[in-house]
This record gives sequence, structure tokens and C-alpha cells, in this order.
Amino acid sequence: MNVLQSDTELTTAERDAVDVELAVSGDGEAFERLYHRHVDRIHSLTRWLMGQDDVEDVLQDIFVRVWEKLHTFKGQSAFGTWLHRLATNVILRRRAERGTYGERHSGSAIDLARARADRVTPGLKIDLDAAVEGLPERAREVFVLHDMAGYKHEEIGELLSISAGTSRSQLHHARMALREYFAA
Amino acid sequence: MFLTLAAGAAIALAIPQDTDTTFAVAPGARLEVRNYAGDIVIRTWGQNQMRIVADHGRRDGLLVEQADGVVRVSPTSWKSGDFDVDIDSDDVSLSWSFAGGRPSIVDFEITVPEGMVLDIGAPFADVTVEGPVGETSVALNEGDATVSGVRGPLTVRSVEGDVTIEDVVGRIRINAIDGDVSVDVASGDVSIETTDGEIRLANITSSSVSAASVDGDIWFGGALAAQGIYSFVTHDGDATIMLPRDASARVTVATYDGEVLSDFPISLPEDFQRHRARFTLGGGGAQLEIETFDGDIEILYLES
Amino acid sequence: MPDPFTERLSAYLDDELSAADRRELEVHLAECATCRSDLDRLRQVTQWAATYAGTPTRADVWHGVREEIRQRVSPDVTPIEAVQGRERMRVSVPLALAASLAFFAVGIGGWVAGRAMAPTPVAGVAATAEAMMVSRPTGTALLAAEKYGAAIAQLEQALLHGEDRLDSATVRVVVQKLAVIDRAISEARVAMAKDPGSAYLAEHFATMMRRKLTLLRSAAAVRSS
Repeated sequence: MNVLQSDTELTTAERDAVDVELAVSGDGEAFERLYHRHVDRIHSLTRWLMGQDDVEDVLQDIFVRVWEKLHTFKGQSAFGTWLHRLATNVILRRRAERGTYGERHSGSAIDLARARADRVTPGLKIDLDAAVEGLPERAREVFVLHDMAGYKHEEIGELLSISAGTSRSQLHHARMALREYFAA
Repeated sequence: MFLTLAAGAAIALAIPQDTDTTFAVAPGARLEVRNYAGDIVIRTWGQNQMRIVADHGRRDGLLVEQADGVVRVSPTSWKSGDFDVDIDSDDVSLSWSFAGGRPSIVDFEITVPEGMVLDIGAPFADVTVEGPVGETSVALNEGDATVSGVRGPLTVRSVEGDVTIEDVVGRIRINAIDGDVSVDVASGDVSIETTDGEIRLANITSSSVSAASVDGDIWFGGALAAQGIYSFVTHDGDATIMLPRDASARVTVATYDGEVLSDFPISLPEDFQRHRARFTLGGGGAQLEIETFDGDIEILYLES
Repeated sequence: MPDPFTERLSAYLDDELSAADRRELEVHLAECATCRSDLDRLRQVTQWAATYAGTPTRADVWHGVREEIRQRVSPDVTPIEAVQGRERMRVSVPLALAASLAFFAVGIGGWVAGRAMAPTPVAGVAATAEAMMVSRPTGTALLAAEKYGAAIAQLEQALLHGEDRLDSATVRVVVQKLAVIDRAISEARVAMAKDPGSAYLAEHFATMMRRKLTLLRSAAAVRSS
């Protein structure tokens, strides 16, 4: 392996690998770097799968769990992939414990235009974050699990108690709804 | 092609290419299948015959022999000691070299008489058994074992692969190393060990259940026999035990870095010490031990 | 009327179409500008999802993470409390991060190197017993170390020098899973050092040693023939 001249030459995956090694051996600053590098994305993932309630609480649980389980990360995948899987486990478990997420949100699609208006980011014409949040619940879940967390449809089927076929069609619906935000 | 092998006769048959053959088997005969790599599917029918469908190509053939109440099926290239491994070690890593003939891949689909005793051994194969079959033994290095409809003892040994068991009446012994184990609808003693994998047990009717993992969750759902003994041990994983509301057991829970949650109204422990606690459910009939090291213990109501 | 080929675009993007369906769609794409545009935009959606950096939280979550980790590092015993009809017992004494993870930093190479430097079963037992004496084990733990240590060392040497014939894939899995058990043994040992009077911890350590022995025996029993 070549010795790199400076830290700026490292890719995110390489920085992650270095910081995981350091954190595992007890370097708290390395763990904090991992946290800051990934927290925003995991925050969005959590919000999209949990709704608005308890997001920060769950986010805290996720990163404490990361700290607990970091020694089990063996580098067989990118750290980000491992982190998404762990976060999803925590989120789905919390949802199962609450038992009410589906009841509160099932069947109701948030109006896309209203969601967009509520979360307009200055300087950006289109807020994709709000667009994902505005997707119907099932389509949003499948989109997040497949396209963000990297789960296969069979795995999503088991996680959400749906068929792989349903997962595929929901993913397609989500992508088609979001495509309007991109130029041809 | 239909062949008749006289019952009790010692006949070896080398079949030169892709095969679909059916022959009579002696009553009470057992089947022994050996295969280096490829899938093995066993199904049953109500006839005293065996049908072997094999996809093996021209380079290999099948050896089928029936003698002394045993039907042996294997590729012609199969024999003991074929594949030697030389091991060199240094201070950093182990390296391996492989010497031996190139193994062939053969897919088997074998239909056997109902109730037949099975002995299946394959280093690299997925094995599927759809009963009703008799006593069954499956030994794999790398591959999944999916077995249903066993009427008799069941033994599965696997290094790397999942083990999925359903509908067994008889003693179950499963020894896995890297894989999940799932048993659904079984009666008889159950003993399961895996090192890196989850264990899920549902609809078990047994007075003796032992499930142990090192790195994996354990989930059990079922009733406890009056004087039964149940043990669930994992090191790095959660243990979730779901019992009927009227469960009766003397319970010991032990964990080092986990929480204990219970739907049952737990009395103050009769014998509490650091890391381990005991309490009683109902009349305290069965003996239930649940142990984790770095994981939570949940004792929940089983809702039918 | 919606284009029937549109429904296949996601599956095409994910390489999940059969060869025949893929060919049929590609013929259609050559002729349909709308579908080509949709496909391109779907691809942009997936690329955005894969690289989206997320949105920042409003609250200071890191502070809570750090405090909870700090609390877990300090010994803590909480008596039984009733919470919403469920009785909870917290019987936790968390592991020190460095101690529990140092073994992993060594990894498989360390396991092999350690064993390579202990060529005889006697040396293996001595090393194990010495480690136990440092942590002041209970009688149960010492017994486990002696009883299983010799057998474990012997089987490990057999594995190392190929006295049992194993194919390379099996050996790879066995070595990986031995690391899982070795980590469990190491964690149990650290825990016992913190609480040497705990019978549960001593028995758990003995259980993990027995599991290691079982695993090695299973590996020895597995042959390519």
C-alpha cells in the first residue's frame, strides 16, 4: 500500500477505515470524526423511516450502538454500508417497540406541494429532502432502504413484511415521483 | 430409462451422462448420497422405487449401488482422500495450496419412498429434503440445508450455511458454525449450536431444548413442558423467549451487559446476585435458563 | 395511456430484467425519447440517493452520544424498577472499550502468530493459565483453563500443521469463527478481572472455552472426503 502524502488525498471510505481502526483502539476523537462525517445522512434516513417524532433520540441510540458494535466491523463492506444496516436495525426495532408508527401514518400521503413549502431551503429551487418526505409511506420506506441503505428487495420484503414484488413496484413508484426534480 | 435392481443384490452401475433413472429399492433400505459440489434435492413418493435425476455433464458419471439395505449414490469422481491440502504457516497468515483432481459439479434430484432413512454428505452443496422421510443426517461444509417432514432423529452439521428445519417428529441435533438456524414445528428433544448466526425456534413441543450461539440472537416461541429443561445461551446477541401467559417455570437469567425485560409480573428475585437473577413464573414447573453476555433478555407473552 | 415499458425502467436500471425483457426494452429505448429521458432521470435519482449527504440535526445529538458512552464506561448497578407494568432489571457493568477491542485490532494474524509461538500443548496451557493468574480467576475459571486449554492447544496445532485434512474454504470459515469465540473468551476474561467473585462470569468463561473446543473438534471432524 502506498503511503499517501496528505489526508486530503484520502477518499471518504479510506478516512472511515482509518478512523474505525483508531476508534476501535480507544481514540474518542476518531469516533467523533466518524460521527460528524455520517450523522447528517443518518439523520435524514432516520427521519424518513421514523417520521418527525423521537428522531434525535433514535439518532443518539444509533451512534451509541455504533460505538458498542464498532469492534464487529470487519471491513467486509464499506463502513457507510455497515452503518446504514446498523441504523436501519435500530430504527425498525424502535418502530416495532412503538408499534404505532404504521397506525399513525398508514395510508396517508403527505401533500407534496405543502411539504415542499414547509421546508424550502433558501437558494435551492427544489428540495429533494422534502420530496422524499412527501412520498407515500411505503414507497418512501422502500426507496430509503433500497437506494440509500442498499438492501435487496428480498431483504426489504422481510423487514417490512411485504413481497419482493411489492418492494420492486414501490421502489419504481418512488423513483418515478422523484424524477421530476431532475432535468432530462 | 427404468432399471430393476434386485433387492439385496450388490450391483454397481456406472451411468455415463445426464441421468434420469428409476429402480426398485428393498423395503427399509436407506439412502446414502455423497456429492462434492452441486445441489441435492430429496423428495418422496408412495412407491418402493427410487428415481434419480442428475445433471452431471459428460466429464463425470454416477455411481449407484444397492447392497445390504443401503443405496449409495455419488458421482464417479467421488472417493475418500481425493482432495489434499498442504498448509504452510508463517508469522502472519496461513496459506493453503490445493492438490488433487478437479472436482465435478453434479445436481441431484432424487425421489425416494416415503419414510426412507437418509444420510447426505456434501462439502459444497445446498441440500433440500421434502419428506416424509425417516431418520436423516446431513453434513455440509458450505451450503444451506432446508429439511422438512422428518419422522425420526434429525442431525445436521454445517460449517457455512443456513439451516432451515420444519415439521420434525424426533430428536433434533444441529451443529452449525457460520449460519442461521431456524426450526418451526417440531416435537422431540432439540439441541442447536451455532457460532456466528441466529437461532429461531417456533412451535416447539419438547421437554428438552438447548440453543446456544456465540454471536447471534436467539428467539424461542412455544410452550414449556411441566418438568422440561430449556436453555438459551448467547454471548453477543439478544435472547427473546415468548411463552404462553400461563407458563410455569423456575427461571434463571444472566447477563453481563444487557437488560432484562419481561411481560410477566416478576416477583423480587429469590436469589439475586450480580449478573444473575432467579425468579418463578406460575407454579415453577419447568426449568428455564437464559443467558447472554452482551445482549438483552426479553421474556414476553406468546400471543396465539 | 401509460407506456407499458415505463414499468420496467427501474428493474432495467437495477439489472433485474431477464435477458429477453432487457433486449426488448433496449429496442424500445432506441425509439422512445420519453423513456430514454425517464431512464436518465431515474438514474439521477439513484445517484442522488447514493451520495446524498443528508440534513443536519437541530439539536446537539453528539453531546448526548458522548454522555451516554461516558456513563456506560463507568460501573453502574441499578436496582429493579417497575416501568409501565414491565419490571426491568439492569444488571450491567459495561466493558472497557479498549480492553474489549484490543483483540480485534490484532485479528486473525495475531491468533496465528500467538499459536505459532506456542509450539507445544504444554506451552499453550501454561500461557493460558498464566493469563488467568493475572486476573485472579475463580476456581471454575482456572479449572476451565486447565481442562480445555490442553485440548484446545492440541487441536489448534493439528489445524495449523494440517494433521487433519480440510479444504481451504472450510479452514477460512473456521479461522474466522474461532476469532468470534476468541473475542467472546477475551471479553469474559476482562469481565472476570473486574468482578472475580462472580460465579456467573466464571461459568460463562468456561462455556466459551468449551465452545471453542467444540468448534475445533467440529473442524477436525469435517473432511473433504
